[in-house]
Order: sequence, then C-alpha cells, then structure tokens
Amino acid sequence: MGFGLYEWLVDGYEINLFGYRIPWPGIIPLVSDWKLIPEDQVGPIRSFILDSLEMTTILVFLIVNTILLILLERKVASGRAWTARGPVFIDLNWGHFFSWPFGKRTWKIGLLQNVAEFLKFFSKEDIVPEKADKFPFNIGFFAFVVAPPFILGALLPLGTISVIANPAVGFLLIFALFSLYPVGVLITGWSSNNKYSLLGGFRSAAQMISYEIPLMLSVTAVVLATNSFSLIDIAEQQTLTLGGLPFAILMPIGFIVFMASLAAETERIPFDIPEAEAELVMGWRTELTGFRYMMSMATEYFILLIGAFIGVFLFWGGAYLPFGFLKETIETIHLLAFLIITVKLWIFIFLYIWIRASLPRVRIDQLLDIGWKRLIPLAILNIIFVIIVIVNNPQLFGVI
Amino acid sequence: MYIHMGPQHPVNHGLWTLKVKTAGELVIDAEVLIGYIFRMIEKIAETRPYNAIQPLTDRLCYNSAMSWEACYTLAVEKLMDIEISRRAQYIRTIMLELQRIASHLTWLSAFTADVGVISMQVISFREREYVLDLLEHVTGSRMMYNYFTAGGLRRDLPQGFIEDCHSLTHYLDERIQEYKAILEDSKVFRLRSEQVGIISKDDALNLGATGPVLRASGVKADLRKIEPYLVYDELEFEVPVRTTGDCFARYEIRMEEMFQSLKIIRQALDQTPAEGEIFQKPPRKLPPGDVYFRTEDPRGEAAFYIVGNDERTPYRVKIKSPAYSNLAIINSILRGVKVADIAPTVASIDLCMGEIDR
Repeated sequence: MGFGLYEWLVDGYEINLFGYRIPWPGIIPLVSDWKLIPEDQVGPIRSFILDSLEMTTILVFLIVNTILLILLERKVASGRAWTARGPVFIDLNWGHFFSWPFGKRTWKIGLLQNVAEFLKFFSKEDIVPEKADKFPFNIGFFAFVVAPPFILGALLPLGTISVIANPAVGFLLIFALFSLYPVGVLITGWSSNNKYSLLGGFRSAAQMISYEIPLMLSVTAVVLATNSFSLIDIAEQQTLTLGGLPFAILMPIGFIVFMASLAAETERIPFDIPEAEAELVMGWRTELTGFRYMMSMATEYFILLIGAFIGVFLFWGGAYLPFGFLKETIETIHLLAFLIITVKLWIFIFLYIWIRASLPRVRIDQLLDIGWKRLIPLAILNIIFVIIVIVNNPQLFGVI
Repeated sequence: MYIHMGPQHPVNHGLWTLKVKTAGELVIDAEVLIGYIFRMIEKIAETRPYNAIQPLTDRLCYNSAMSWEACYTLAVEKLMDIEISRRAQYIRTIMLELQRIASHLTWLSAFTADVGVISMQVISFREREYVLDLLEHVTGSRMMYNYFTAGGLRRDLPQGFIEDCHSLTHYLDERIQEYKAILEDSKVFRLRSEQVGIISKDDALNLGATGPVLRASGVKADLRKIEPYLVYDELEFEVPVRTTGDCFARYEIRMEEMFQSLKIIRQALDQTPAEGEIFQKPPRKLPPGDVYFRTEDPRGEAAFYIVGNDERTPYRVKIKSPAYSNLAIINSILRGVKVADIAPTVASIDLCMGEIDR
C-alpha cells in the first residue's frame, strides 16, 4: 500500500506554508456536488485514473532524467573536463523563447541530442550474431538487463510520502531486482559467442557479486539506525537525528563505502572494467547493435539514477533539508519536496560524473581486492560503530 | 583461450595484431603480427633523388616526423661530409626537441587513455596542439614538415618565433608539472602502472630495446650524450634513468624527458646565433661510400644506413626503427600480466606502426 503521488491533489489536505496553514479542499470534494459519476463508481474510477497517472509520471520522470543525465555526462565529463562543450547542435533554438536577459541570440545546449540518437539507434538494423545462442541472447538481455530497472520505478518516492508502492521489505526489493542485472550480463556475454563479450560478462558478474556485499553492508548500517526498510521512514528519521543531520555526515564511512560500491554496481570509472574500452572492445556489449546497444547503455544510466535515488534517500535525507529546515512546509507542499529530490539526485549524479572525468580505471584483481579487503572491513566497522552508538546514545540517530 | 587483438582494436594504436594466449585473466603468451601498412619506403627511396626523400621519412612516424628527417638529413650530410652553419644547427636542435615533446605528449595521451584517465588523453592532445602550432608556424605544415634538407633548412625562423617559443616552454613547464602531479598522486594510476610489464636490464639489452624503455630498465643510454650530434654537446641536460623497468618507470622517464627537452629548448633559444647561413647548397650527387648514422628519436635509437654510388639517387637506404626494436620485448613484458594490463603495457613502449612497417 502506497501513499500515492496524487492522493493529496484529489482528497484535499492542509498546506503548511512557512507556518501559515492554508486548506486545500481537493478535487473530489470540490466536484462531488456536481454528481458527474454515480456514487458507487467513484472509488474504482478514482483509483484507475490515479494509478495510470502515477505510473506514467514515474516512468516519464525516470526516462526524462535518464536522457538529461546522459546529456549532463556529455556536457561535464566528455565536455568541459575534456576541454570541449559537449553536444550543442541538435536542439531547439532556446534563444527565441528565453531572450531576456541575453537578447535574441543562438542559444543551443544540445537538449535534443540524445533524443535524436535514440531515434537513430532505433532505426538501425537489429543484428543477432549468426553463431550466437539466440534464446539466451534475447531472454538474458531483455528479461534480466532491461526489464528489472523499469519495475523499480514503483518503489521510488517522489516526495516525502509520495510513492506508488511502499512494501514492508522496502528497498530490499530494489536490491533484489538490481541483482538480476549481473545474471543478464553474464548470459548475454556468454551467449553472444564472442571472446570479448565472454570475458566482459565474467568480469561483470564477478564485480557485481563482490560489490553487492559492501553495498548491502553499508545499507545495513542505515537500517540498523532507523529500524526500517522503507525509504520514506529512513528519510524522515534523518530530520530527527542529532541536529537534523543526514546519515552521510553521521556515518561517513558507510557513505563512502556506499558510493564506491554503487560506482562498481553501475560499472562506472574507476570500476568500469566490464566494458573496459581499451582491452575488451566494449566488454559484454560487443555484439549488441542498434537498439539493443542503446537499451544496454540507457539501462546503465537508468540504474545509476535508481542508485542515486537510494543514495539520496538513505544518506542525504531524501526530500528533507538538513537541520530539519522547513520540514513542515516540505511535508505538505509536495511539489517542493519533488523539486528538492530532483536537485539532490542531480548533485549526487554530478559527483559520479566528476569522478569519471578525473580517475583512471582499476584492474579486475585490484577491484576485487578493493571490494573484499577494503570496503567490506570498512562497512563492518561502520556497522559496529552504528551498533555502539545505538546502544549508548540512540538520540544521535534519532532512535527514540 | 586465444584472443586476437587487432588489426582494428582499441589496444592497437596503429594497424597490427596482437595474438594473446590467456588462462582466465592471465596472459601466457603473446605474438605480434605486423606488416599491414608496409609502404616500401626503403625501396622507393632508391628511386628518388636524395633530396626528395625527406617527405618519405616524414611519413615514417606521424608523431615525430621531424626526428626522422633529422636522422636522414644528418646521415646524408655525414656522407657528403658537409658542415652546416651554427644557426641552422641550433634551429634544428630546437625543432627536434619540440618534436620530442609533441611525440611524448601523444604518447602520454595514448597511455593515459589505456589506463582509463580519458580526460588526460584529451588534455595532452591539447597541449600537443600548441607545440604543433609552433611547428606549423615555422615549417608551414602541421605534421609532415619537410623542413630539414641536406645543407640546412628550407626556410628561416619566422618573426617572433623566439618569444613564442619561450612563452610556450614556460606554459608547458607549468602544465606538465601539473599533469605529473595529477597522475602521480592518483593511487589508482599507480596501481595500474607500478609493477606492471616489468622488463629487467638484461632482458632489455638482450632483446634490443632502446630509448625510454631501455632507460627505464636502468641503462643510461642516450645518443645525445653518447654520440652527440648537432649541438647537444654544448647544451646542459640530464638523461633520466630508472631501474624498475615497469610501466610507471617508462612513464616517469618520458615525463622527465619532456622537462629536459624544455630545458634544452630554452638554452638553445638563448644561444642561437643571430647570423648564419640557413641553407648552403649541397653537392648534386651522393658521393660513393656508405654511412651509418644514428640519432636519438623520441622512441629510441633511430638510424639510417645509406649507400651512395655517385648518383643523385642513393644506391641503398636502410632504416633502423626504434619502435621495431622495442616491439621485440612485447612477448617478454606481456607474459604474466593480466588481460586488463595489456593495453597500458603495450602503450607504455610507445609503438608507431608507420616506422615499424615502413
């Protein structure tokens, strides 16, 4: 049972704007006098419309953000960091729309570049290698790589309480769906009958399986501190901690472990070994062409976005600002909460792009060393620290 | 498992094939297949007048055209036994060192890209472009210069070159220091390059490695010191040597060489005589006899063996390529590294297929 993204809009509630209470009557109470729909059908129609809207919203939000995130990556990492400007040509001329204060001028930032490239990839021929094992090649890719991240959309809150589904297992479900990804990568790499793909698939599986452990351990500390699996509860608890500080500051080791493991899970530099361009052409993606390749790349960014969602909610306090600043207002003005989450997501992702622009990649054995010999002990240290704090001084984490 | 890397593969900077035998992630054996861009440069050289061969030698290596011109021109001049003016010699030295910096920056770009620092790849190409701009200003061409000729240079330095070059050396000095710090302070970079692709001093000597690869293994061999040509004996510089023989040592050597080159350029700029013949007419024909002349290319010891026969065309031209010598050590340095280290290890010896296949 979720709280829904638009329940507040339909049912009405009290807005708290900087302490001033403004009632919002809600659409259904407003139009109920008009008797448009028979009384007994209001419930089903309402839930049908709301569900459709919610699902569309989260899907559009994720896809648009993925496209913009790729653009950001190209602007920052392969743009400014590489002494270039990134894509600039394929865009509307925004100078026509927003002339003030710049005056009428050509002002293109390449917003439509990725859309154009997606269209290009879709128009390409879909090539399945002749000697590939067709069934796993298709199933492994679409069922395990592409599909799972899309299911996750239902579990991601877009505000303080706005979420489609809020199951008791909470974000464990997200990680469970995450862990299907290496399986798909391995199957795709293996079945495409190419040595680069095979090596890339094996590396990918080894890497993700080893880094799921520190990832889960770093998350465990947060669960211990909050006694909840729900992203919403965890975010809310970060306003009750010492000074209303988020967990990124209260348990920095856990946050660093989380960041490093997430970089490995999403195959980004410094841990982008599975698709190491230098020695394994494109890693497990070598035989993917056209829209398959596009989907695989988009999925990678999609997963980064979802990882950023988890990071923002677990360590950055979700929609809440530090020090419990404007807590009531954020809780009641849902668009503001949504905006804060989006901004935090982009800052979180920007960190990864920055890292990508400045670090080399490590080798597979060094990567496993870092995972097993550094990150896991650090994560366990973090858990011990959290347990000690909870036993001695639970107020630090807001445990009452 | 056998993995073919090439002829078109991101590992290969150029057109060649690396056949690697692996056990899991470990390289057991490596075999090199070359010859994809064989252009018969040695044979064509036998059909051309000696002063029409520099354009061919330019095309030996697209990264350091100038040093190949220098090697050929100096060999011809030694055969003819002519002496060029001091000014021309100084200008040649400056050009050669600028070319060395450009070549090492290209190498840095390739190496860092293979390690995974893609930003550094782009940045070092940018700095190289400044050097190439300067060379273009002097020679009129960005990469294939055809600037040196037997008897001197094709044209004099343009106006303002000395100042431009001075400011460029200061700029590069600052920048390369910065990049050196960025790379060497990076733990990941050190993880990837230290203790990778090691070749011992004995192996390097026995397999015929030259240049930075040999110096990284602990042999202080630099022809600019051992057999000084041009005006290198009048300039102060050091020959960097490392003893570890790994990728990081080769990286350090090349970085250090760039600083030494900048030092040489600064001295040479200050000492260049204002007066002097840029070009003096050489004899029309190559005298009978043969000559073997070697210079220190950015990649190591480059040499020309030219046989003259009292004709305008040389009777025989034989090229000794340093990259070809260094290619011989690939099997030795690749055995035992991880598959992921193939790319940086191969890049660290700075191959240039143009001069290997010629």
